Amino acid sequence: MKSQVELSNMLTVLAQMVRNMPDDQFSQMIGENGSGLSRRPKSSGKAQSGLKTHAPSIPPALAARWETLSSNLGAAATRDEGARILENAFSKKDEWVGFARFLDLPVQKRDSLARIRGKIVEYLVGSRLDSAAIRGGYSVGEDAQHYSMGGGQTSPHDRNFPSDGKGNAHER
Amino acid sequence: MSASGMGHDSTGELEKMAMKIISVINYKGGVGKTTLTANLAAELAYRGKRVLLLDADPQCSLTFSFLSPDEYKNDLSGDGSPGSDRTIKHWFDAIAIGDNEELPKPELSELIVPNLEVHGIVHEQGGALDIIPSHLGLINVDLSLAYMLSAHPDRVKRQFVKVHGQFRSALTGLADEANYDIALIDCPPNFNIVTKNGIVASDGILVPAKPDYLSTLGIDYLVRNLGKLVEEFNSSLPSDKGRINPVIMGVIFTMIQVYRQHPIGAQRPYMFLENVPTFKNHVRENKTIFADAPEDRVPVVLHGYSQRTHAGVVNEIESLTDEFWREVEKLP
Repeated sequence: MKSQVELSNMLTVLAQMVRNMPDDQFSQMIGENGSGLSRRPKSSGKAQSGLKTHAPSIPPALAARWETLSSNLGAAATRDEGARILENAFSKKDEWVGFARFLDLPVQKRDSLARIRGKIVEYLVGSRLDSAAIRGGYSVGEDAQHYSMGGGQTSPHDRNFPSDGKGNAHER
Repeated sequence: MSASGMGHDSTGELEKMAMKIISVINYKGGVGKTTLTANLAAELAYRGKRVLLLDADPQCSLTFSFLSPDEYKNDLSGDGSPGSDRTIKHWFDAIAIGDNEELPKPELSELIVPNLEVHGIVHEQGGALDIIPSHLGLINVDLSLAYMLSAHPDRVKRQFVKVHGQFRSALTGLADEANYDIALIDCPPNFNIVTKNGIVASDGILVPAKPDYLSTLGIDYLVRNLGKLVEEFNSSLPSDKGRINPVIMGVIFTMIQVYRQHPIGAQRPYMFLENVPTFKNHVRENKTIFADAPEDRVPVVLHGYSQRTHAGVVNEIESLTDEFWREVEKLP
C-alpha cells in the first residue's frame, strides 16, 4: 500500500461491494446464521476425537490365540484363576509385551514379567470383580438383575480403540 | 428429529419434542462436570436450542460460570436486598418449612436468570441459555428434607415419594409452561436428597469421568445407588403410575491427555467400562484454554479463537454435542 489515498480508495470500493451485495451473498459472507462476525470462525477439517482403528498385521494364528486367551481371562471368576490361566501362556518377555499391547495396556521397558502379568490380570479380571463388588448386583442394560436403565441400551457407539502406535486395535 | 428439536407425530404434523431433563453427575469430584455441562449447554443454545441449567451443587461452580459473584451476592443470593433470594436453596427451604405465608414456595420459573453474555451470541439462532443458581447453603437443606422423611413414620412411603419427587413435579410444570428443549441439572458429587430429587426428575443421566482408577469406581457407586433409588421410589408409589426409569445415557470421558490425537496410554485402559455405555467423543485436558473461561461468563465453545489447539478443543465439544443430542433424541 503506497499511500493513505490508495488505502482509502480501496476501502471505498470494498464498501460499495458490500452495499451492492445480494442479501444471500451477504449472509453467506458473514456466516451461516448471520452471526459470523460475532462468533468463532469455523475451521475446516474438524479434528476427529473418535478413535481410529489401526492394525499392524498380526499372524492370524497368533491373533486367534490372543483372542482366546483374552476371552478365557474375561470369564475368570477370581484373580487367582486369571493368574493360573496366564501362568504358562508365554515364555518370552516379548510375547508378554505383545499380548499386553494387543490389549492396549501401557507397558514400559522397566516393567518386569510379574508386573506385566499383574496388569493383564487386573485389567481383564480385577477391574470386573471390583466393579461387580461395588455395584452389588445393580447394572445397566439387558443383563441388569434389578434395574434396567435405558431399556436394554448397551452403548451409544461401538468403541474401537487403537493403541498408541505400538500395539494393535482392540475391542473389548 | 431435526436439529431444531421438532419431530413428526403420527399424523405427520410437526410436533415439538417435550423438554428433556438430564442430570449430570459423578460421585467423584473434580472430573470436569461443570465445564462439560456449561459447554454442552452453550453449544446447544448456539444451535438454537432453549436450554435451562439448574445448579444443584452447593459449590456453585456452574452458577459462577455464568454469573458474576457480586451480581449473585447482591441480586440473587438473598444476602443483598430483602426478598432477593432467587436460588434453588430458597425453593427447597420453602418446601422444608411447608405451607407458610412468610415464606411462600416460589415457582421454579421465578428463579430463572438469563445469561446475557451468552444470549448476545445465541439469540439470532433462536437459542437461549438460562440458569437457576445454586447457593452455598444448599448443603444444609438436606437436614431439613431428611427431617421431613422421618417426621411421619406412619406414612414412610408416601413421604419418600413426596420429598424426592419435588423437583419432578416442579420441572414437569415448568416444561408445560416454558419453552425449553432441555434442562441440565448439575448435581453435586454425592447422593443426598437434593441429588436424588434431580435423578427422580430426570429422563437421562450423563456421567462425566476422568479415565483413572478412582473415577471409574465412582461410576460403579453411581450405578448401584441409582438402582437402589429407582427401586425404592417405584416401590413407594401407590400404583404403577409415575414410575421412573432414568436412562444412563453414558459416560463422557473428560480431562483427556492427548498424544498424537489419541488419549495417552495411561488413560486408555480406564476408558473401557463393563456394562455401562460410553460416548465416543471426549473432552481433552487443556488448562490454558479452560482455566479462565468462567471469568468471561462465556464457555470455551463460544469463544472466538485463532489457534489450532483451541480449534481442536472446540471441534471436539461440537462433535460431543452432536453425539449427546443424538442420545437425547433416543430418550423415551
